Amino acid sequence: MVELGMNTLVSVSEGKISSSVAGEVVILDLDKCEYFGFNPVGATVWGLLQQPETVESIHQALVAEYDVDGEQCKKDLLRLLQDLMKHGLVQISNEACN
Amino acid sequence: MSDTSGPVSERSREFDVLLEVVRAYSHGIKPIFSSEGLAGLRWQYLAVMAAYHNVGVLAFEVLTELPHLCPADVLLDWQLLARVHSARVLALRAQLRLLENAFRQQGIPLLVMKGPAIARFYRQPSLRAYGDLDLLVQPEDVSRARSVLINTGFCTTESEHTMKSRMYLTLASEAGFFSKNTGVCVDLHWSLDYPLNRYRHIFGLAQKSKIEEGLTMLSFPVEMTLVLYLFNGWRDHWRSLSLSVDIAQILERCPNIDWNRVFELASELHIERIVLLGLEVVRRTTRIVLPSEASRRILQEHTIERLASTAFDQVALRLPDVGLALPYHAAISWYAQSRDSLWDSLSQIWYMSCAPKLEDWEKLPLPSFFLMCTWSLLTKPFPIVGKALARRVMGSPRLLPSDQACPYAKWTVHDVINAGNKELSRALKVASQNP
Repeated sequence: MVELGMNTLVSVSEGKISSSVAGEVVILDLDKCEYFGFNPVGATVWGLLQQPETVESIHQALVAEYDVDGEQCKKDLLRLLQDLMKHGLVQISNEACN
Repeated sequence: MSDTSGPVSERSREFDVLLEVVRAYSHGIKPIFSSEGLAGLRWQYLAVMAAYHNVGVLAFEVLTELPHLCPADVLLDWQLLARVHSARVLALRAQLRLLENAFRQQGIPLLVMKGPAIARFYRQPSLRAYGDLDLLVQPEDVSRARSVLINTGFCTTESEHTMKSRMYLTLASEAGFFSKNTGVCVDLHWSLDYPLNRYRHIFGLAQKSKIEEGLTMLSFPVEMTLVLYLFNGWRDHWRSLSLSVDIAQILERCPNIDWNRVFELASELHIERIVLLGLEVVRRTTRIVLPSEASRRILQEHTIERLASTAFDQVALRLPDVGLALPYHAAISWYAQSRDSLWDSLSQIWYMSCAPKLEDWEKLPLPSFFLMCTWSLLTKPFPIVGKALARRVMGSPRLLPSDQACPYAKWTVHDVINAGNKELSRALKVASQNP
C-alpha cells in the first residue's frame, strides 16, 4: 500500500460514476459493478476529489467546513483515503509530490 | 393570464406543499414554510404523492434543507428510497455507457432520448428519475441494433425476421428489450410517435451533446427537445409534476433558446396549440417566467387559458389511488380542443373513443380489423395501429408479458432486495452502513 503524505496529489479513479442526493453520494464502480455509499462528510471529500487535490488542501477544506479538531480530521482523512485507494476508488495523481 | 387557478379548497394541503417544493426547486430557492402551516400535515401521504408525481427524490432533496420542519422518521424513510433511486439511476447510466460503446464499435449512430437526455438539463441531474433507456437508431440500422442488444445480454420477443421487414419498420416505431442480468429495459426506437414522425430524417436534427461527464452522444438540440417534451406532457395530460419540472429546468438552464425555431418546429408538426398549452401549464405549475413571444401567442389563443386551467386542476386534484378526476368525455374534449385543426381534432376523438387497445387488435375479426386499419391510416396512423397491423400480418409475438417487462418499474426496497440483483442489494447494504 502506498503511503499518503499531506502533499500527495489524489483524485477519483477513472470508471466511476456517482449520484448525489441530499448530501449523500452513491458511487458505482463500472469495472467491478460494485456500489459504495458515502455520508455527507464522505460526499464532501468525494466532491473535492473530482479534480486532483493535495491531501493538505482537502484537509483544509474539511477543517474550514466542519467543526472538527485538525489532528483528528487529518487522521480520519488519511484513513478514508487509504480505504478508498484499497477499493480502487481513488488514485494518486502525482507521486512525485509525496 | 391568471396565476394559479382551480378550486383551491378541494386540493389537499399535501399537494400545495409539494407544489411549493417543486416551485422552489424550479427557481433554485428554499421553500418558505412555517411550523404552524405544516402542523397536522400527512407526511407519509406527501411522500406517496411526491413519488406518484415522480418528484420524490427532488422533494427529499428540498425538504432535507428544512430538517426542523420535517419529521425525522419520514426523512429516514425517504433517505432509504433516495439511495435506491441513486443505485437505480447509476445502473441505467452504466448500461447506457456500455451500449454507447457497443453501438459505436459497430458504427451504428445512436441517439439518446428521455431520461438521461432530460437529466442533463437539471441543475442536479441525479434528481431526475427514470426507469428505462430510450434509444433511437436509423430505420436501416434496426436489425444491426437488435443484434448489438442481444449480444449485450438483452432479450426481446421481436424476431429478427420481423424486425427486418419493411412493413414492421414502416408501421411500428419501437421495440422493447429487457436485460435479465441487470433488470434494465431499453426501448429501441427507429421513428418518433405520431405526429412527430412527420420528420423522415430525424437524425438530420441530431447533434453531439455532453450527456454527462465522460459521455458524449447524439441527442436533439434544445429547441427540438422542448417541442418533444411539451408534446409528451400533453399526451400524458400533464398529469405528473415531473413533466412540468422537466420543461422548467430546460427553460431555466438554456437562456438562449431560439424561440422562432421552437414555433417553426411546432408549426411544421401541426402541434402549435399543444406547445403553447404546455408552456402555460408549466408556467402555472412552476411559476417560471415565459419568454414574451410565448406569452403573446398564448394570449392570442383564447382556448389555451381554459385548457391549461383544466389540466392544472386535474393535476392538483389527482390522488395517488384514483388517478385523473376528469370524466372520460371531458378528457376527450380536452385533447380534441388542443389540436390545431378540425381534422386533427376529429382524429383525436376517434382515436380516444373507438380505437382498440393494442392487445385487443388481435382479437378483432379480420373484416373489422382491416376496416379499423384503413380508417386509422386515413386519419393519420397512430403508432398503436402500425404495430397492430404489423403484428397481425407478420405474425409477430406479443410484447413481453407485463410482469417481465421491468421488474423495477414499481421500485420498492422490498423489490430491490428480493429481485436478487447483487449490485443493487449491495448498494442498499453499503449505504445503510454509512448513515
